[in-house]
Amino acid sequence: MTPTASRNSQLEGAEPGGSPGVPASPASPLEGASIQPFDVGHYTTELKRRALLLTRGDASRASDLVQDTFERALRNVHRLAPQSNIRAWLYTIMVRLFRDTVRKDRVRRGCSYDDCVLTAPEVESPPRWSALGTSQIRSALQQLKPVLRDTFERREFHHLSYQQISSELGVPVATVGTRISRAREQLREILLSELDRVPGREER
Amino acid sequence: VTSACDNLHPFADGQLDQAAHGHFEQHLAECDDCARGLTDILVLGALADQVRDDEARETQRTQTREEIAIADLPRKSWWRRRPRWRWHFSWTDWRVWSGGLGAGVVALGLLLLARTAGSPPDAFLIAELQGRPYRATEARLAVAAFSGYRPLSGERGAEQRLVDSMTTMRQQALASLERERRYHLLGAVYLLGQQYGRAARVLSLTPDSPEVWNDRAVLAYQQGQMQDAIAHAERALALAPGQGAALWNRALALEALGRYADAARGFEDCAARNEFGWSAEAALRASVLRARLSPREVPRGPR
Repeated sequence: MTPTASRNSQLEGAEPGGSPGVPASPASPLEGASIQPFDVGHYTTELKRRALLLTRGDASRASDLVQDTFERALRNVHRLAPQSNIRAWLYTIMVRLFRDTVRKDRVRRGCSYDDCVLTAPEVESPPRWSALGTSQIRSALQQLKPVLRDTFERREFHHLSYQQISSELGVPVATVGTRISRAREQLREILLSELDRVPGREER
Repeated sequence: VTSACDNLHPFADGQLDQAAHGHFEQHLAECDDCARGLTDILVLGALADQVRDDEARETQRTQTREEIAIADLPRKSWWRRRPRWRWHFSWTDWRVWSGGLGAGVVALGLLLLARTAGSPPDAFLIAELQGRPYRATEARLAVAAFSGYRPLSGERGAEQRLVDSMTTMRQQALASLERERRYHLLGAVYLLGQQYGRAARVLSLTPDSPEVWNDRAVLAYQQGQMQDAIAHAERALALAPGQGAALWNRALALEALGRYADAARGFEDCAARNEFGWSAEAALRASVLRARLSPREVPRGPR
């Protein structure tokens, strides 16, 4: 991914004189670290769309989830390895936060603490295949069966619902769901095998 | 892996009903396999977004190159012609006089053609505005140069940067658009740059058409005049029933007035039109509005 050029809302790696996005302070975790710049605003729309799916259209919950994701990402940006896929990293954080939210809601409803263990606030790494480049992802897509690729692209590229895909392709909704899950599993397998062929990549 | 895990993909895609969605949330809180699976699904979606963005950018670049090439075409053909009549130059030859006269007429014709087809500064201005991967306003313009779908930018200050880029280096191109009386396009450019007074002036000079009424609706919406926005969008719809941009902008204005049910119906009409990008965003907006209309089943605690 090519980071966007310098912008107002952009977070940049700390330099001795401070950075435009983050006020420099001796205690800043960014100081001295090698950080790739990223633009918060660039990812907001995509994250919000995914968060709305996770919260089933609850706009306020989705906004909270996206905001918390950015907050945690910004706090931990110094852990982001160079050449990491920032989108993948943000989604990894978002899933973890979503689970945390569900667990916290359980505690509020009176569930015992032991049954609803809260997760530690560390940030997990995204799947190791997420660091592959666009060309490798495109090639992985080409290796899918045409029927699986078509269904996957309608879902992920054009954001159509299962119902819309079903009526466009003339197949039952359940078949659409099966094709999408198979396409994802096969893509994951292809990307993993692709990763094994790329020299210099290490296991997570 | 339990039977509950089978709902992972429909959950990630927002395809479960309210009850099943709630049950899976609870399952997800306990099942580490599903949490990893959900991360994989979202990351695969992110990679797909990346591929789609790259392809859109590449298409945009190709289109821009083609537009600039078209804008340059008359000038290139004029330069190619020049050596021929130089080669035959002689004051005593009557063919030189007639050739010179013919060349003058051709040059004048090419100059007029270049002025009407769009001069290079316009092409660069439009390419710059079109080259942005995200749109800066929620509303939807109908003028041909800006009617294509781009996702809405969530970035603060996107509009401000647009204004800055226009005021610093694009005066010549704007003047050229005005000189050529391309008022509709100029109005859209001013509108995108938040120069609403100028946008209103040039849009009022443009002959009425469904597209112009729609862009007047966008202008009213941007200025917070929702009733006017609805009236203008309806004028556009009266002239061209089912126009996607006008349906969209009327729904936006209805939403701003708090008429969520009407707005949701409007966005559902937009979604039914199967326009690339716009339909998906309209469906999402409609579902958010529908969710807002229905009472929440699970009360949330204080944050």
